[in-house]
Amino acid sequence: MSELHGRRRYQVVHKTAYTYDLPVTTSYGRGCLRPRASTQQTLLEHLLTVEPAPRIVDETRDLFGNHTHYFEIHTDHERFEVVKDSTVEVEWPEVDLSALDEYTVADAARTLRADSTLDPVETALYTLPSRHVELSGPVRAFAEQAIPDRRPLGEAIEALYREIYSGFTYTKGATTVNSTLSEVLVTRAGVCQDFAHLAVACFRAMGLPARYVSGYIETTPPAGEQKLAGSDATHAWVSVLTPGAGWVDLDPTNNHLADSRYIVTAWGRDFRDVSPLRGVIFTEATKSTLSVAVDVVPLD
Amino acid sequence: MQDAHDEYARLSATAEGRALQTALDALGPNGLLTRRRDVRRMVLDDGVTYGTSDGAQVPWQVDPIPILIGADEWAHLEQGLAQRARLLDALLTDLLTERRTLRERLLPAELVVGHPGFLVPAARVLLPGSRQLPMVSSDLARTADGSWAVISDRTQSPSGAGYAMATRRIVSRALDHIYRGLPLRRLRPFFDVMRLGLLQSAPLTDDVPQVVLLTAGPTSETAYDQALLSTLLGHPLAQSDDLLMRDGKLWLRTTGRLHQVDIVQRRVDADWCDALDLRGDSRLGVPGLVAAAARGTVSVVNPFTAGVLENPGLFPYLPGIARALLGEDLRLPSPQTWWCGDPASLDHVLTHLDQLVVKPIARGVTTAPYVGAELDAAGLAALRDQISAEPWRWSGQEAVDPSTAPVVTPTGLTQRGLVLRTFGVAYEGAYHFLPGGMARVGGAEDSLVVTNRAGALAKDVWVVEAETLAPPMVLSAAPTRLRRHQTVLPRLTPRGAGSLYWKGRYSERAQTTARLLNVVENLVEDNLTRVETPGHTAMVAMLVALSEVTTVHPGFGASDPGAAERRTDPLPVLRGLLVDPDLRGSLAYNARRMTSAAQEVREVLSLDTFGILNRLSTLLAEARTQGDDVHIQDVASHAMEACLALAGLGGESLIRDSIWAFLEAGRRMERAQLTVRLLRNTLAAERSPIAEALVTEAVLRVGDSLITYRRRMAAGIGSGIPAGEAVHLLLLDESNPRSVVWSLQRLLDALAETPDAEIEQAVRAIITRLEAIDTDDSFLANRVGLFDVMADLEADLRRVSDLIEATHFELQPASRSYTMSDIVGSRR
Repeated sequence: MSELHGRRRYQVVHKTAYTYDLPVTTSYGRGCLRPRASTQQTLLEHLLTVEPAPRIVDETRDLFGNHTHYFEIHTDHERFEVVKDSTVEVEWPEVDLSALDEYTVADAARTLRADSTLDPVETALYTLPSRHVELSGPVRAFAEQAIPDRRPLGEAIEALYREIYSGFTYTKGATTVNSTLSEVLVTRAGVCQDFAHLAVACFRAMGLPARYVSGYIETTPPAGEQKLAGSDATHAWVSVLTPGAGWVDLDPTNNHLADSRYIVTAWGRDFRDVSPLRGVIFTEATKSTLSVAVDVVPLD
Repeated sequence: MQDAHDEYARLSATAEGRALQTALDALGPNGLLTRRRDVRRMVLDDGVTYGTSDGAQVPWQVDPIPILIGADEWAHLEQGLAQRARLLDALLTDLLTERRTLRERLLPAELVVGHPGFLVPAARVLLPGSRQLPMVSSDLARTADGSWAVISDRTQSPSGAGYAMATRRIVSRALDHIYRGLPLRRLRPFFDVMRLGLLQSAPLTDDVPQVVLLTAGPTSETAYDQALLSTLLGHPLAQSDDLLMRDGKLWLRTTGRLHQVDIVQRRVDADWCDALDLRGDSRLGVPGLVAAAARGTVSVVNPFTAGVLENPGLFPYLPGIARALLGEDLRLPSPQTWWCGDPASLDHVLTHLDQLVVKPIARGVTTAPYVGAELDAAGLAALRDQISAEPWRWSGQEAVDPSTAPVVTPTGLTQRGLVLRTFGVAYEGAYHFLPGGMARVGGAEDSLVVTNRAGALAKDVWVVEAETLAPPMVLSAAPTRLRRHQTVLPRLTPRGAGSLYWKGRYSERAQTTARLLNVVENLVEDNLTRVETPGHTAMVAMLVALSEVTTVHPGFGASDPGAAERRTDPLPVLRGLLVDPDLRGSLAYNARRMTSAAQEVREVLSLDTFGILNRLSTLLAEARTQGDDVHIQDVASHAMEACLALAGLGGESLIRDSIWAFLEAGRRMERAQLTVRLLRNTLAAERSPIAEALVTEAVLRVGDSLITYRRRMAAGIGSGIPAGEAVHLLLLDESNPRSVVWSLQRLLDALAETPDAEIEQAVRAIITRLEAIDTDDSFLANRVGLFDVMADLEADLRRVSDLIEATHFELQPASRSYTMSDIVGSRR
């Protein structure tokens, strides 16, 4: 088990391509693709390629500290492609959840609220509801049942990823980007993004700051099979602020805490803050086709 | 002072107030009612509108009795307002930079971060210059002791200064004898300061900064306010389609070239300004605007995040913030307010709900404040649940009982609650205020909520000039400095140019339709019952021409089903063509299209234009109510006069720039097309000599060339073939302003303002072809040939018009947003 917390290196290639049925004359884009540095991660190499070549590419940091790219294309085109090619070194230490049990969920929320060393803006951003993280009645009810106030914090974190893992079916296409958490709670099905939003909502409902993390995860093919090129996927999980252990990352889709197989791109309040690629296109085209290919290649 | 809480009673406190009181008393109820009517007429003549109802613009509502604020009172209030402006500016600056107020817990972070005005993608976009809040605005009410209190702040994109100006223009005319007798502060200098103040937010540039006023368009609720502001400041209005982002810079699309924009004074709420980084579903902004502002190539005023200050929940914290950031005590009071995100305050609000006004921290489109006293038990319980679920979204405020002011109604004066909106702008480190502002009184009695949506009336606010004349407002040197620089005026946007072109076309179409109706009804009057006479033949010929020229079918045309019956009873059709605004091609329809085209570009047109348009639409609307009794020739003549007056304004009052040019091009193109169509459908067909003579005369009357024609015939000029001579006069005569050749030559002159070789060549080719027509030959030999030539000519003209549109008025392609949302992850 401990090898999952050792140092690893990965190359991540993430290719996104759109084809349109009529030419696009102008395209403005915002990419949130460059992996950010963190205590668990160092960016060794990074290359972002956009086709057709943009007139301008501008890299900035957003309020959450993520790297984002603004670009403009003024060439007529029917195909648009963004390729990210990054090499990262990852080392996630093991988190001792039992040490967090000295706080109950309510204690932890109270302690964090009173902590004057925390950035109040950050804390508020990650505690209030956001676009995809509603704190409606059903969401609160689910949170109170999964991680009640009096529950020890370490146990609560584990209980939450277990509860979502065992109680919800992983089904592609069960939700769209516009599905609400209340709907997910009814259908009990979704993908990593929904599970991450739900976990974020539960922590926030109990007063704990929590953020949505976007990134990648190394996958292994079923025994005896070759891994297919482009068969990996973008991934999303959740990070919760704790007194003592700082931010703790957990993956409700896979039923455990994050480890050295996890590569972080960016984090924010929810998906909307860190969508890998979005934009506005000027065109008479009405149809576009998206293709995405992700490869997470271990280098050692 | 008898009653501190009544604006009329308060007048007795100052000499100027007593003078106003005396003058108003002298007017008496009838005099005031007359002034009320005058004011209403002037609102319509000036085209002052607020919002729309069923697609039509709704007239601005003004009460004739002004509010008067004494010199001392205003000086005192102005100091309070200036301090509040400095405070809000300092707070916004802090929130965009160090966030000391949040770190030091002077202000709870949830109150700021949880407000929809806190736009994360723009949370660090700073304006160059010393101020982050160039424009401020607040709503105030007078409390029971007579002092002013701030009820809310408007910082998103303050609206109403233009309405204040419009209201002043109207009330000062309606009460001119009173207005002139009092020493009052003028409003105009404020707009000069605003213009200069805006420039101080400009990015570094070698040129004079170019400012645009970003608008959602003529359907915006405050479109009039925006247009007047644009006129007063001399900055073009720009809609989304008029702007584009290229190389990280913002450009105004104008006919012929792009013009870089340095400053955007936005009248679009921040969240809608950029579909890339803000609301993806917005089509009112410019994708990339946030990125450009962040990079500093363009300044957006007020900054995107300024809306975060429109928050009643801030009120309890402002005194402390004023001490911390300014080292001053807050001067202007507010009604006591509790932010429910604070547990003790929540408790207070929930237990005193029935005595408070409950407001969300951000005003929504539909969420009006809840007045606790007006709610029943169930309403209170529901509100309590709503607050408890998300306390940080709510605030409770002591109910304000505003001062009352008299309003003129048909049944006498009534008293209504008054709210004053003030306007300030930063210039050279200080804030300057519009003297007074815009006052509004509730439209209904006993309403604590005064908004324009709730049917409020505006009142002019008169501020007495101080005795020591040292107004800090205008710097006499400043306007001169600016004038010297204004050499590179941006040209029209494609949208604006297109609207002017179509205004020109519709005004010409309206005029010709009026002329046709006049002539045709005259023929009908004389000949309807005289079947099988040449007069009747001519009448039918002109009825047919009417349908063909106006293209309203089915009508009297040869291929129109039911035409025969209509020809025996043509008046209902003629009346429809006169007054039915929903009938495409009617006079009323053309007038309406002309008006809406004018409203698209109201900022570049004179007030007189709207006066004439208003009288024309009133004329046609009244005619419509007369039903079968309407006197067609009378109405058509009056409509024609209105159209001629508009043409006169264009010809006599417009500078020969691109505004004039596109208006002119539209008129000339339309006249050429209509004249060709008229001739093709009348004189290109052969008839008996007598009928032809009558038709010729009718055509010449429609073409306003009958007198010239008669004089020429009498003098023996021309061929001697009557119809041929008429065609020559209307088609080819270079000295006749009604001829097609003349129209095309003027079209060329107008287009020269924005030269384009292809268009010019196409127009010249048509002129050459026209000049090759030998009318004598056509009329002696073969009219069919003439008919064909005219048909070709009409098609050619239409092609040239299409070319003009494609070249000069082309809009950007449709845009849409996408988000790569394929984040599925994987489960092992």
